[in-house]
Amino acid sequence: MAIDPSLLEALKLRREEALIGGGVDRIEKRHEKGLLSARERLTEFFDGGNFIEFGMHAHHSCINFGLEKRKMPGDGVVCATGYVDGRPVAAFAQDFTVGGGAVGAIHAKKICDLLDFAIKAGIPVVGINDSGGARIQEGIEALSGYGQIFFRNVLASGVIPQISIIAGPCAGGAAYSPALTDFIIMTRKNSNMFICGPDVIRAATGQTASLDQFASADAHAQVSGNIHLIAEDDNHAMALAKKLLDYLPSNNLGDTPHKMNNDIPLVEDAGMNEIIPADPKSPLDMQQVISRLVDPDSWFEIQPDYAPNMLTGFAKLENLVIGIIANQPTVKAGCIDIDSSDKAARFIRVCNIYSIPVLSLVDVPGFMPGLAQERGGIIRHGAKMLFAWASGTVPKITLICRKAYGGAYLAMCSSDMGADFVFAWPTAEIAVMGAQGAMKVLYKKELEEAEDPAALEQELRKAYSEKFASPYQAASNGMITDVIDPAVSRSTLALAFRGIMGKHETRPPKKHGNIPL
Amino acid sequence: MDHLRITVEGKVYDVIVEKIDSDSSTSPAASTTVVRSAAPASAPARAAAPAPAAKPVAAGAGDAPSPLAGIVQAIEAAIGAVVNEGDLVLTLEAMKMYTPINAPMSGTITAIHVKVGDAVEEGQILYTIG
Repeated sequence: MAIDPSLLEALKLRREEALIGGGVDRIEKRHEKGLLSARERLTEFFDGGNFIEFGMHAHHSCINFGLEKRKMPGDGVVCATGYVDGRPVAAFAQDFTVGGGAVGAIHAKKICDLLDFAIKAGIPVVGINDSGGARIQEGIEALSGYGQIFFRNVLASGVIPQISIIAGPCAGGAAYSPALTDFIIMTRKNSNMFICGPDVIRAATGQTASLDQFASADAHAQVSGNIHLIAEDDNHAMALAKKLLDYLPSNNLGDTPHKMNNDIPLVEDAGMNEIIPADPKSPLDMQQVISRLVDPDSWFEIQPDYAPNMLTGFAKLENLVIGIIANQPTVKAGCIDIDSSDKAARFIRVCNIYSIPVLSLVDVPGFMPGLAQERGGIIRHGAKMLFAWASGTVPKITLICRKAYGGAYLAMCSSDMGADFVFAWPTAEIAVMGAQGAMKVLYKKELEEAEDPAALEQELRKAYSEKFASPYQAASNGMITDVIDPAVSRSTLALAFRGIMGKHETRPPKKHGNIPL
Repeated sequence: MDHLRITVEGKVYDVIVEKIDSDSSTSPAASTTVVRSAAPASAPARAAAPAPAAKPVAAGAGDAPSPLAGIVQAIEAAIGAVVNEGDLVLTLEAMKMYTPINAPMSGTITAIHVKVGDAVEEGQILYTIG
């Protein structure tokens, strides 16, 4: 009584055929270009290179244009679950060596099934995109496949972390699946992402545009803001995806991966005081502030190349995972503009979904003035930040470092917008507007009638600055928790976050709010 | 350097064109500065359509465009000075803050298009490195 050996032999042959994908030659060609195959990418991604594959024996269902005679192992996509840092994760990798990784009905079904599984299991999904697009021979079956993937991306959104890696072409409708996910990582070379390519653009508009201008990783990282991180190569892309998972829970109800220390050292960092310029007009480098505040090497900046006047990213503070939103005064004076509003609002919402407490570091002179900003809808875009803060129920702590003027102060999460703690440095200037602008409103008549308007203005401005360009008016009105020595910021924030982790806040029941998109 | 005036769609531009070595690989934009004339000379009347937002002047590799509207507060280097990428060349004051305009590349400063106290627009070229 033993198994018929021919059955095992047949299985072995089928597995070998599937594992080789589009063939040794095509994989070798990829290696020459410095690219990994679909299976090699997953091997690199999962702990021990080990994963359980879904649908290895899948075969396409197309009987048009002679395709019925063509074999396509796995139908051009490898779907699997495995472990990353000991936690279960699902991943799929499109196989460009099999029919150009094109999406047909079965290919799409495999991805959909994996997404359904991940939602059910409450585990993150990483999608590695490397596909020529829809399999034209399958007609609207392929198109329908994309629609079904999009639908599941949306169902999964806000439930499980979804990370997309663009490691090859990702064109047309295919670009919208990654666009619906939480994070997009793109390899610097060999990948592009666009809706209409150069030929279509030229035919429709007469414009000549190269892929470098609008479809490359650099273009998306710096200009369009479509992606979050650039990877130098395939291995780096996998490493970045794993690094993201290190800051995220497995799902919206799961535990954020805090590995909190039992002790919080109360230390004074005199160096923090040294990086604050004495002249309020000289910019404070917020990158230096962050690196002094958080655990060494834990600052993981998200969208570093897009709207760099606003910094967003994850960090760990005494091993507590936090998200940081910070003005960067060395760029555009730290003003909030359209792009930085979008960047910050989206990041606040990601933190809220995954119960990651948020730290807001404030040094903002105001919203960016200008015709282009007004016409571009800075009202609508800036409102997204207000919406994200007020609707967010995670712990929120604000540290006002220096400038906090007008509406921009509210958009950085004042106590009114639901901050649980608001700390301010003695250098903080919390006011409705700057002294220069205020003079023209408050003392217009006096200045017009004065014998020496310049002298009077200087005198009035000094008095205004002393009274309002400080944290103490806000402190006396109960709008801030405390004014602190910058040297104790790290310990103060670590203790404050620890004390608010049990926060539970609800909002009125509704289908969803109407964020001004 | 030649001083030219060109009219595009009724708008008058003063253009300074600097001839550089014919074998130089520098892009033409790197040595061309476009400054909107203060008064559009006898421009034809336009329909009362809303004016399009000012377009930033296309910048060459060595051009340092202004990241935001502001006032030139200080110029730290002179024409002919050799600078390294990231060196402070010019400081703007805007929105109660100084904004350093560091050298976008290493090289020699070939032109400074503004002087202290000038009001500059976003995208306006402040200086050029050759």
